[in-house]
Amino acid sequence: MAKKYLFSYIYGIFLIVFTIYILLDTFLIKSAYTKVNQTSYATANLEKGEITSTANLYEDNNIKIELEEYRKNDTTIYVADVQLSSSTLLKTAFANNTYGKNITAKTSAIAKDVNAILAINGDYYGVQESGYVLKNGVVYRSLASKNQEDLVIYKDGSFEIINETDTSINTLVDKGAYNILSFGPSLVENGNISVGTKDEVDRAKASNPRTAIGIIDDLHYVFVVSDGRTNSSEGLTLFELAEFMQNLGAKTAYNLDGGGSSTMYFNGKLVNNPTTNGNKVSERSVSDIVYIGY
Amino acid sequence: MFSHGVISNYMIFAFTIPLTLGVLVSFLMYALKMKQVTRVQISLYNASVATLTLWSIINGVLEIYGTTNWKVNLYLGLYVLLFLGSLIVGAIDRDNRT
Repeated sequence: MAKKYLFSYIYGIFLIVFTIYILLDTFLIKSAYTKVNQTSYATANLEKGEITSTANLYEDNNIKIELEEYRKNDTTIYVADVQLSSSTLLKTAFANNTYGKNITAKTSAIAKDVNAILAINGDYYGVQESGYVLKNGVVYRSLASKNQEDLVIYKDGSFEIINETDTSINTLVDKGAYNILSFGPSLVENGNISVGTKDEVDRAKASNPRTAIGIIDDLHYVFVVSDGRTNSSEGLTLFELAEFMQNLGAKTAYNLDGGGSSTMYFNGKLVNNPTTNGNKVSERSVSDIVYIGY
Repeated sequence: MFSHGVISNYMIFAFTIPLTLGVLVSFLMYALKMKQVTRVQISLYNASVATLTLWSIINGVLEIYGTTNWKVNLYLGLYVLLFLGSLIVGAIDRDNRT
């Protein structure tokens, strides 16, 4: 009797083992592709001068960051208004200085590693197998993702929204691209909201914690993070986020990884209340950050 | 609770695979009095349905998480091999009986 089902037993066990391997490979097994030398990041070589640093303000000769808290749509939103003297102060960084799969660290840990004054979580490139990865002038992945909207940050500090289907990463680098964020969608373009009221990231349907970046004027940016999934903060839809960015004066604004990843770090401290399920405030480990620093 | 409003059609419709390819096919075979199937053929066919169902569930998990893994397509490859295997075994068995 047992011999009749021998194949089924063996195949069943194989399927279980294979599935466990697939899940481990997807979520846990680390693959380091490139170690990044911190000193290879463009350094500003700028004189800081006198520094003013409080819980809500950082100011020196080259950087002025003002932190403000808003309350909209039953959600607490944190806005860092950033003004720079040089675009070299706007950078990105990898977790553990390594480009790879399942290489992650908390936003605050990555920020401390690179001496960031202000940092937000990035595009979490590590969960995708395609999509442009360009960090601080170095191309790490050139495989385009179909119809993927990216934010290109050029060497002069300007922003542009592009579609990976329409242009290659090498063309963008030749045009002066210095960083590319590949998450999306774009929220504001040329001062106009570019998401619909029913748009969401992939198949998400709920209000969520959000992270976004926008540009108001030359070298004048806003880094925005909202709380969500808690009794005190419901979270924002993409449209609400876009409206908020537009009201801040952003000419171009872009949505970054949200949900449990949404984190803002300023002057050595966590600013928002990151949470994955709303029960506990804890940072999620992410694969990269966007930051302001020397 | 766990997906925070994220949905996946792979997850939602995963149950339809064993329902249609398993229960419905078995019912049709019974209704059409198709009894000439061997244990090997049934085992291969059931394994293919189980593989396809697992493919749908794993794709759903990845979709909800917002990630991808090309190795999930190996399930589809296995499904095709097992399904073809069950057909081939059935054809050989029929040849042997005639």
